[in-house]
Amino acid sequence: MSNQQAVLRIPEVAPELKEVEVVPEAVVAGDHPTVLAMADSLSTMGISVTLIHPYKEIEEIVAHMRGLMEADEEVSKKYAFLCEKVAANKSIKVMSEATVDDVSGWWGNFSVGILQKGTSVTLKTSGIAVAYKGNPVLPEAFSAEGIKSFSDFLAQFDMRKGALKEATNPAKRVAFVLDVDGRDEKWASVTALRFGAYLKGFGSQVYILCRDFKVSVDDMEREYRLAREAGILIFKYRDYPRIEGKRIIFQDASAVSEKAPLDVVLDDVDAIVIQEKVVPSKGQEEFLGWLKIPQEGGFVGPNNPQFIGRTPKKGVVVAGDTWYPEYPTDGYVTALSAAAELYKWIGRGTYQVDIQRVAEVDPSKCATCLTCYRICPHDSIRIERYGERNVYITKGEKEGATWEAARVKVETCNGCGLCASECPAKAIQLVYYPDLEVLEFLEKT
Amino acid sequence: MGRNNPKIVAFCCEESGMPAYEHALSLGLELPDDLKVVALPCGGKAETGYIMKALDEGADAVMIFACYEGNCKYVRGNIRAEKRVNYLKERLEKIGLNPERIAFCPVAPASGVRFAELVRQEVEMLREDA
Ligand code: SF4
Ligand code: SF4
Repeated sequence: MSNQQAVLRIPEVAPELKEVEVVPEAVVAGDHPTVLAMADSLSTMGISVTLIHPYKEIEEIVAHMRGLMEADEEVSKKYAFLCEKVAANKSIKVMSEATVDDVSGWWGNFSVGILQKGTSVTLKTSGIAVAYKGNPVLPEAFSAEGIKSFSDFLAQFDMRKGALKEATNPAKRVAFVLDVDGRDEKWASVTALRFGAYLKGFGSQVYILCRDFKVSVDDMEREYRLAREAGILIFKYRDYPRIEGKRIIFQDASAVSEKAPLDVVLDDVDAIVIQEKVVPSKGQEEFLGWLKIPQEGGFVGPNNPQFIGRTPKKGVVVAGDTWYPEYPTDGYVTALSAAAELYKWIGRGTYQVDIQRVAEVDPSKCATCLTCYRICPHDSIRIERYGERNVYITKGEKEGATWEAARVKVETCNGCGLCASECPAKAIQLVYYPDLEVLEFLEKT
Repeated sequence: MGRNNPKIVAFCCEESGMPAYEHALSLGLELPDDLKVVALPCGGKAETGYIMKALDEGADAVMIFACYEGNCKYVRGNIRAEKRVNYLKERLEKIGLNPERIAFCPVAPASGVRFAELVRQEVEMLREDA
């Protein structure tokens, strides 16, 4: 062995640049306070912004923030200031009492249908930034137990508020109950660990009850270790815990035998923190649906953990609960990265697209099966009319149109090759890396 | 062919598999010379045609090195690749071949050690299988 492997690298094809004009303008829409951060940031970068929100007054965006923010003076001050700044910024066009009704098009060429006080307007825009608020609901398991309101318990979203209150009058024993409905979510684990450690500092005994614990992400392992070292007790339960007054009863899943389950009883628990379920708002699901942006449980974040605020769709960014339920401090950072990401696509007036690093359809082979259309993560494929072979004619221009076939929009294609690898008719090739190169390399392996 | 030195084709995603391979080299880890490495823009580009062609041309095993779930730059490329591999494994089994000859291997870009280890395991498995 001498490490002399044959390697086929992706060919370095000299880029062939196509200049695409992009007007630096964006629509920022939603009811989450982070829309303010995105609008402000984009405007500072010289992009003309139209802010679309459902309230009568712009201040209400902040006023409707959940209790959590009130607890954190720093954060609420920051958003209040942003609100004033945006309201005073004459170059930001604010549309109040307005909701987005429909979205279509692609990067540089979106068309946004807006419903404002009963009238519809359509706006053309280059980029879109969205941030909706999710709706926290108590898990069904609890409703079944006859617990109806949040006030009996601290819900996850209000945890920080509660935790701060605790600082002056610390609860002796605090339990976090996570993974409601079998959902194992990072944000819940992180908050439990962080605030658990925080409360521990005031002398509380802290328990975390979960089904499974996500430690395999980002810097969770560190937080987990710190929490363990601080003396937080973490249990894995088998069935959902029963809560009777100040007592929690559950079966320890790490107990040795299935047949002799070990019942654990925690008595005198002063504060119980339940992981809320955050349900995406209706508008958000529709919005992402129009743009064919994949969601996981209604959020964009889990699909793109390492690209904060970005969606697979060029020119569309998200923050707030549309990204993922998170704290306003973290949410602020997400909003700024989202704005920066959008700037990259639409901020400079023109954009250069490398038309080598894309896929191309041979329309004479295409069977119009729509496989590529469904698969493309960037929504870059449309079924279009062609005139003669390879001669594309614009929509509506019926004359001479002989057949329809898939067509790759070079402006938005990222050259991943997913369409090419699934096309049953083998009608698609990557321009910069045709199949033939790979197949030849594989010969006489 | 000599099963002692089985031939392996590794399809490597540009975002994870390739950096992992390079990382293994930079660490000086041993990799068999009979390893052919093909860089692809995404693990999801490892087409059925590529995989079958490799086997057809004499590879003892085909490994697809892609990103972990949730890390794909193209959202679902890795999931597509994994599904495709599972489907092909079924097919291989049907025609009486060892399905382990195709492997889907998620790796992180900086996990040269894991890359080398997975290749070593595959080689070992093929030797035992011979
Ligand atoms: S997958 Fe292939 S055959 Fe089907 S629509 Fe796309 S290009 Fe045409
Ligand atoms: S190469 Fe990727 S981004 Fe481009 S059209 Fe095909 S699936 Fe879409």
